[in-house]
Amino acid sequence: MRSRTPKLLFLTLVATLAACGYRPVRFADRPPVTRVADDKPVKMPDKSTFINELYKADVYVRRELVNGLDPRRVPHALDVNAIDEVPRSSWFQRPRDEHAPLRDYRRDGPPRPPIRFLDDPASSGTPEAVVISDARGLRYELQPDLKDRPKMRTAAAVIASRLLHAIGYRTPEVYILTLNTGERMAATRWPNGEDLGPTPIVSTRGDDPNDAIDHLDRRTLRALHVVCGWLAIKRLRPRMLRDVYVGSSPKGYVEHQLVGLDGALGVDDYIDAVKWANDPDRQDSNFFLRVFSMGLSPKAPSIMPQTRWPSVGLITERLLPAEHDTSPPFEPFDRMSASDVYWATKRIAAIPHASIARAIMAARIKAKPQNWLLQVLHMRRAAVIAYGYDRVTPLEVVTIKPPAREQPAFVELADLAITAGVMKASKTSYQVRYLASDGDELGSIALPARGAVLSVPLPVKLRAHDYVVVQVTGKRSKTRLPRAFEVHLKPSGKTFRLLGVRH
Amino acid sequence: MCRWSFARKLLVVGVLLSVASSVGAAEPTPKPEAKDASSKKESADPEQVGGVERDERHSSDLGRDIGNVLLFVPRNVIDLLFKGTSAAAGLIADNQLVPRYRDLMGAPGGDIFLFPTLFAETGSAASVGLRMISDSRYVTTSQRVGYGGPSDIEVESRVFFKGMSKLPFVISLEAYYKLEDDLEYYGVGIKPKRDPRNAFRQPADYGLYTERHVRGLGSLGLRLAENYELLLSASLARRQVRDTEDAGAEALSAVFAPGSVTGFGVDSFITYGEMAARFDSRESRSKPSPGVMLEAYTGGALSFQGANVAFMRIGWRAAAAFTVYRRTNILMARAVFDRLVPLGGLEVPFNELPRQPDFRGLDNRRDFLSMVGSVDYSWMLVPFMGMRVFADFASVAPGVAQLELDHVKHLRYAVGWGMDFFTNTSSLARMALSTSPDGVRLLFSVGVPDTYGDRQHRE
Repeated sequence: MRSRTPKLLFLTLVATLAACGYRPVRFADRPPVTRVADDKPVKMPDKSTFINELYKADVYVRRELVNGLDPRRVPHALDVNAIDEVPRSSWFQRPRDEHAPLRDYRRDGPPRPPIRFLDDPASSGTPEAVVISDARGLRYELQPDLKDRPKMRTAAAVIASRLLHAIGYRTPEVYILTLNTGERMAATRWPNGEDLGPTPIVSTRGDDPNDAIDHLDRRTLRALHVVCGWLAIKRLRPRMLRDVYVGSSPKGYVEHQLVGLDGALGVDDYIDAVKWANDPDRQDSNFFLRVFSMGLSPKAPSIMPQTRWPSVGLITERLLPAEHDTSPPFEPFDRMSASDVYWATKRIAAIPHASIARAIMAARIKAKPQNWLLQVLHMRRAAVIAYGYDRVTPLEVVTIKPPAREQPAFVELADLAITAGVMKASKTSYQVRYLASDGDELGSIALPARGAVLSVPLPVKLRAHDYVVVQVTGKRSKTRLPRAFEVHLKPSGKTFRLLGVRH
Repeated sequence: MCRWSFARKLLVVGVLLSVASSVGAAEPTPKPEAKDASSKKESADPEQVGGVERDERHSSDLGRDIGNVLLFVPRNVIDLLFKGTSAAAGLIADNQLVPRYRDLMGAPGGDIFLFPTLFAETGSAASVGLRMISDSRYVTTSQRVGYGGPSDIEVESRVFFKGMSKLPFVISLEAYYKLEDDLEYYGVGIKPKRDPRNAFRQPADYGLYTERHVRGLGSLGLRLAENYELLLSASLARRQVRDTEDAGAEALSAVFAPGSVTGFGVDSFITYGEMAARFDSRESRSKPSPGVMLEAYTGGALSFQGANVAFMRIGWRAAAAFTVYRRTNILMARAVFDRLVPLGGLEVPFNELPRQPDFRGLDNRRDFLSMVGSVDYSWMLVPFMGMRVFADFASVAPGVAQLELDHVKHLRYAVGWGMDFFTNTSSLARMALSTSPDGVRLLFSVGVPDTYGDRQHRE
């Protein structure tokens, strides 16, 4: 008798394939978390050691092999709440006033004289940095400028620190300090706790019970790619992400900070270009040529980089965010989703013009390069916005209007691309689908854009279901946007209650 | 009865797992609500942050799940290999017994690492194993198990005591057990079939044997200066050689005349003491670096039980590496000379005769004198990866006085290509392919080399 197992297996496979359509995420019926309590007292964890070559072997070889063998879909970021935002945590903290995000930048302020030079080694990672203690006993690290490039590196550190703070990243304060010798320095308030070394990238910190979300799945790390693109950060070195123990053990907790931003705004590009031009062994960038030439390929001509002002690095207004690359590879970027890009874009777009100007002014460079840098950052931001708002359907919930007279309830959504002026309402339309919790379609309509706000009706029949998903896919000039926006609702009396959103 | 291949079984398991997950997904099983669902906007539990009761599922997820089941093992083996090897490489530093100061200072402390090793080479069974290393500021321990089959087992336990005073030193204690099957003995001489010292009973090229090797080793390594090391070691070893089971006409005793192979069929218990000195000016031993390496050793062996054995070992190796066009292109010439001198007119067990592990062709010649020369050209592709091409030459002879033109005429050679993954201080993985008139040899090794440590580990 022939075995029936293969037939059964085939039928099961077909049935399973047929049953596996799209099924949306389901949110719990509770308010979105606005703060992650990952600052519970913990005993001070061990300091981590970083060995550069091992890190490189890991990111260039293991990462490529393991990712190539992993067919699983990259999960949605795990450090986001039900409304697709990153709540406050030891990793991220929105400025208190989004209209003036630099208002709370100053905590300890610049070092107060008299300062005392210490013999301790600098740990922020900037070459040639020295450690000082100010009149209050607070420690700072002083980073000098490059020879022949006055104000370039110090300005980059000051500006990038402020802009990252404006986005919400935890980063130490940086101020311009002029020594008695007349030398200009960037004074970084570092360490602002007990420095525990580089933040582990591919895993959590095993000795910190508060660190429970896989770092590869943190939006704050994934979305750094967009931020690096905007601020022309070429080298996102592992040492730039630091764990700091805040408070005294065992009552303190670990904060995760970004430090050593003096390579931003094209400074690292400049340093690399000079280094490459001066390298007697400069290699061809083509890997295969290196392989087959046996290291004997002709050396490319040495060309020194040129910039308009010595206080500005190799940064231009041209930016293709998708093609921006950091070196060495940063593994969370491999898992960056369109939602992560969109979130970072929102955060960057939310920074007021005046705050960007204020960040640049804090660098104390001459008016012309200041003005030029302001223009460049605005133009790069526009490129980021155009890119980020095109990865998803860039809608946000404004309100849910209850039914009135003959009208059903409505959910009002704001299209951020139209609000930002990168897309016209006349060229925009939306396809709306109503889904049940298990993904069954309950109805659909097409809606044109009549402005930046879209009112999506919520028909009465939806109230018969305990859970409703309104899926909106935007169309720009008849081209569908790559990802739909989802509003998850729960009928509540005659209206609906918001449970969550997904981009 | 239906016979299922492994692949089909794996597929079924994958499908069933996916079906199970799909079926489970069709009926949502909401997670427990937060304790205070009405007003709590703060969560201590990161899993609660997302507010997700049930994850989304796409139509492509079934295929991904099946693929995930099929790729789970290779993916995680590679993942574990790299993570473990990287961690261990940082601990063990380079192959030099006495770490430099910077290596000691760069090593993390108080950690335990467990990771697999993989070794495959043409002509021998692939060996998989597990190595556990614990490290603290002053003591490092290493436990290793390798398995290549029921008759191919290796167990090793080492303890290192590190001294970081003005004179860095390492004291090492080691226990080692190895059972190896299907070893080939070709006889002595460069052309064993023509060498009158070999008494072949039949036309076969080699005889198969099994060796059980038990050893205790203590050593002291001193770094006298940045580039100078002095290594003292003493060991007690027991070696037992028997015919490979079921080898039939290929068994060593069937190929060679009875009593013609010294050391076969008897147990040898040998004490061996050695002193070695090394000068190595290369910045790194694992990656292409210019510099000079000189090493010389001498040691004496004496049996304390079983067959009477007494001999002396003398040898040296020298290497010079030069840059070519770029500092990352290295041309290295190397010569290795190993000599064994019998003492008291006593015969020497065949398995104590110098072998040629530095020869990257087929290492199947033994004699009282071994000479290997090689030329390597390596070039770095990226800071952790390089390629190399090489040519090796090797010969053996009964002694210096017996060297004659015939040894040049029958000089053995091998040419090949290799790829290395390394850090500044340690090798992470190696792959090499060589060809010689004897055949092709493929070597693949991931993990800290089994032979790391002092010179005795290269035997």
